[in-house]
Amino acid sequence: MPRLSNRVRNPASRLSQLGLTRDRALAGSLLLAAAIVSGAAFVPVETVRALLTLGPALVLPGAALLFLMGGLSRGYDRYPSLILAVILSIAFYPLAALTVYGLGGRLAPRSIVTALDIWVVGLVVIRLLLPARVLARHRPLLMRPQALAESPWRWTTWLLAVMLAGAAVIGLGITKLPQPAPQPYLALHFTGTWAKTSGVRSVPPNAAVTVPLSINNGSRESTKLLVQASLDGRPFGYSRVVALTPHESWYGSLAGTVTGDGCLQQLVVQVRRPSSSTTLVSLDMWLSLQLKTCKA
Amino acid sequence: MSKPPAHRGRRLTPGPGRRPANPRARRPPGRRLVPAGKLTAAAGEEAGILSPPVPGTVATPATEHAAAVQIGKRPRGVLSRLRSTSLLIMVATGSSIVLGAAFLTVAYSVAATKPPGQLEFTLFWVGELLAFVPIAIRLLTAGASRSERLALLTALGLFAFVAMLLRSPTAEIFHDALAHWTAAQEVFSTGKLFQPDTLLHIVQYYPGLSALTVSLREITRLSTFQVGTAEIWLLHVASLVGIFILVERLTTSHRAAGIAALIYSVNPAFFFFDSQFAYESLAVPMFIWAVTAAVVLQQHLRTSSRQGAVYLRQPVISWFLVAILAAAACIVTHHITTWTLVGALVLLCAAPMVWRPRTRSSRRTAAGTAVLAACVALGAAAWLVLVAPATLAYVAPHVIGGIQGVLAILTRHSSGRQLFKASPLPEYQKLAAYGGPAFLIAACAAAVWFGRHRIRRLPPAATALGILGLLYFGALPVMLTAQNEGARRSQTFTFVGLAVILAPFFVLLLRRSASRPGLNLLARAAILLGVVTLLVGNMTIDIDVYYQFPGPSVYGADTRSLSPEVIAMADWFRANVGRGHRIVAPRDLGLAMGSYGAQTVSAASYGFPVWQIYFSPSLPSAQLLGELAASDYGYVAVDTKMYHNLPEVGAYFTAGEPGDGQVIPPISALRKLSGLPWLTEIYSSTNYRLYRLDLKELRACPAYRTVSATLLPGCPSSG
Repeated sequence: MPRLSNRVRNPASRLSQLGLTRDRALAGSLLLAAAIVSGAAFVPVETVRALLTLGPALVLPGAALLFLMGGLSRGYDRYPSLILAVILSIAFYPLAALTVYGLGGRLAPRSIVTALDIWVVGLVVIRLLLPARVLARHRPLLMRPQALAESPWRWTTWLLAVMLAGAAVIGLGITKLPQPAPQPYLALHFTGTWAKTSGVRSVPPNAAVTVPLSINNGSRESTKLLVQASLDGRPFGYSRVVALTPHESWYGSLAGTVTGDGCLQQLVVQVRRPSSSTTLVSLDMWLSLQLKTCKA
Repeated sequence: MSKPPAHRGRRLTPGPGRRPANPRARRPPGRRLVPAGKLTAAAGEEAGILSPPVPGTVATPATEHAAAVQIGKRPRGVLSRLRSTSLLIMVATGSSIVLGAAFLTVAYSVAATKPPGQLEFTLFWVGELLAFVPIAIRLLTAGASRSERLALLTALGLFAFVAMLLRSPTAEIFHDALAHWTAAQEVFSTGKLFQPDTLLHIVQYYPGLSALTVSLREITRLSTFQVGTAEIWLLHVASLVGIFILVERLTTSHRAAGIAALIYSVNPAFFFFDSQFAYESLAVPMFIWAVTAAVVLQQHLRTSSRQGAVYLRQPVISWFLVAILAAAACIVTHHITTWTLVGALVLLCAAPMVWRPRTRSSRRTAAGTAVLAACVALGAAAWLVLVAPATLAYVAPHVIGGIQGVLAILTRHSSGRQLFKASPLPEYQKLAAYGGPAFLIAACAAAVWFGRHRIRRLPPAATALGILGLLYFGALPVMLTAQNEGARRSQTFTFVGLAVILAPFFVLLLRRSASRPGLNLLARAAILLGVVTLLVGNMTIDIDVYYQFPGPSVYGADTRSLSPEVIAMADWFRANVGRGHRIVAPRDLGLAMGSYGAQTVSAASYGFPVWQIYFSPSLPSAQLLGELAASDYGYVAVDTKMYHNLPEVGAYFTAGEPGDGQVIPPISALRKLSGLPWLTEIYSSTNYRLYRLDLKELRACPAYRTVSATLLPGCPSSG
């Protein structure tokens, strides 16, 4: 029996001591991984779930297909085969999702995990059912080239070290280096039913109206603001002064009485600094007075 | 130029009395060697660059397996020496990559916090080159092992994503990425594919990326951004490894394969456009692996065709399945990539018949590839006709516009666009943008000149992919036109072909100059300079400064327009008014409202000219008002900056709008909105306004008028 190297021989001999063939050991590993992904997908702790599922989910469907096609046979090129497994896995999910959609299903953890399990178990079973004479002829899709100067893959540590160091540098940079100050802004808006208005609001004449408002100070500075309203140019209710700390929101209201004989009047709410006449932001609401003289 | 000896490249292991290419890799005593011509060239640098891959020496699994089983245990002395040397080199390379990442981080901090200048560019390029150059030097070196090259390419693939990650570390900000993010969010929230997408309507017909992302989200419960980042990062690495395997199979040299992947990595889209969360970023790696699978399939068909029942053999079936699966994922993900894949497969299918004697072997190879090409073409056509008929209308303007632009330049009706007009980019970047294509022209011309006598002896697939690469030069004139989107996107694919043309040529050049150290150093320096020029130039072509760096808010610049202010408005709207409302908005604001706000945003066109609300001081046309009412539009969002600034992307709404994005709308068009009884201002911030649209009040007449009577058709004085 030809040997690749001690690296290959030892696991094989260990497997034979356990009474397992290479195929059955691989099949077992794939089924175990599928079981872990299926179980972990319903783990309530988010970090644990992500850690247990993301890696296997990105490799498992492709690895199962490679296993069926003989891609994991003895002498396979490990790293490119891993990448091929990832590519096949990434190709699997859109097609599986389309199948679920075609069957009238909903994309949900249960349906995706079921599709994954059916795929993995199905391929593994097919592989195990293949006749031995067929399996004997199977060669890896990507075979490890051998040469005098070539060494087996031994760059995992290097890659991990570079990735971790890079991630640490980037993480430190993002958290410690100065970041841009967001452009300051001031926002004024209605709240409650006034925010969900469908347009013109009907009000009885001489009715007291409360206007629910909110102001958001999106700056890094404290500010003092004057909030006032007018109805068709006439003052409406009392104005108020609002003091806001950085990034603070104020929720409140302005109240006044709707007067005048116009059927359709415009209520305008303005915000400005107490010492300035320049309006910073403003809102308006059209009020339809239910006067007898007004058309419906 | 004299022909190389006939045996060159066929011998894959050192023969008796010959010195191996790598002096450290001498044959240890008692070591069994595979006879020359039997071991695959993929094994080492002794491979046959631009040499005919004669049967039995092609890197097929059969020969590789034969070789593998004959090689025994490795000598400790050689390995330990190799390890110590390469360890030192790899520590230095790794440190340089990490230092490069540090420089990039500082560059982004400087860009975000200091006034725009040149410092961020300098830091950015120092960072990029600190990582790229050492990797490139090692990949050009003959002494690097195959696994080292793969490790370096993995590091390059990971590093290429760093700039994009630093640009948007917590959320998607690019236009297309936001559109795809929104599509994925919509699929996630509904559990159904093919959800309407108003930001980029074509995305709904190509749900591959959404399906993948949502499937992984359902399993992992990570956010769309987190899953998308993991996907794109992996796909980046997979692209380079795919190119490596492809070129290794074609040239039987891992050195050429490494250089090919390096060349591919400097294509204009690799660092930014194909690093964003978008359908092309998923489809391109699928394209690469489908082409790779087709090429390997051809090799199996050719080399084992004499053994009977070839189509039923395991490698043929397996690689056919790999190609079909990758192509299927491509079909459901991206239109242009799919069609390019069909074109590439047709070229691969024709190659054995056109450039090879019409033997039984070549006929079988062509027939096998034709079956694959036909399957993919049928799948693509079926998807286009049955699922995505809107694709043609979406793609056609880009293609036709490009052709018309070239014709206009040729007939002197247009002088083309002015490149780098008022661009804040450093001069060296602009120079590199011109230098990159010049380098490619010179290098490809030299490669074709050197390979002209060997074209019939090259693997037909190499010739086919070479033709794909030469299409790059056909697309260059289109780059001079305003409609250059199609030409820019095509470079992602033509660079696969350019890598196939140039990598073996560079290896040939380096091998021929190996005996003269000075010349060899010069050749390496020239290649390195050319590749670095391509890196800098192509990135300059692909991305503008607003996409590349953070900084102060800029109107109409997509990424720089997404301020906390507009996101706050979108969030407020979603939380207080609800999702899925129909809203009229200009391009930038629509992007925020459609993505963060989860609203359905209007798509402006001459059939639905919503710009009338924003551009004109008069009332919108009755046709538009009728359509707004009929389509149940309920809100109008306004960015007041549009009344003081021209949009950086060249359009307030869409290309071809009135004024072509070159005329600032009059402020009176904004003022009118406050006096119309059918518009109620429910949200107002420093730069944005949101109005409730109530077209039932179109003919209402306010008691106190603040706008011209012509804007109030219901008032008596206006008739």
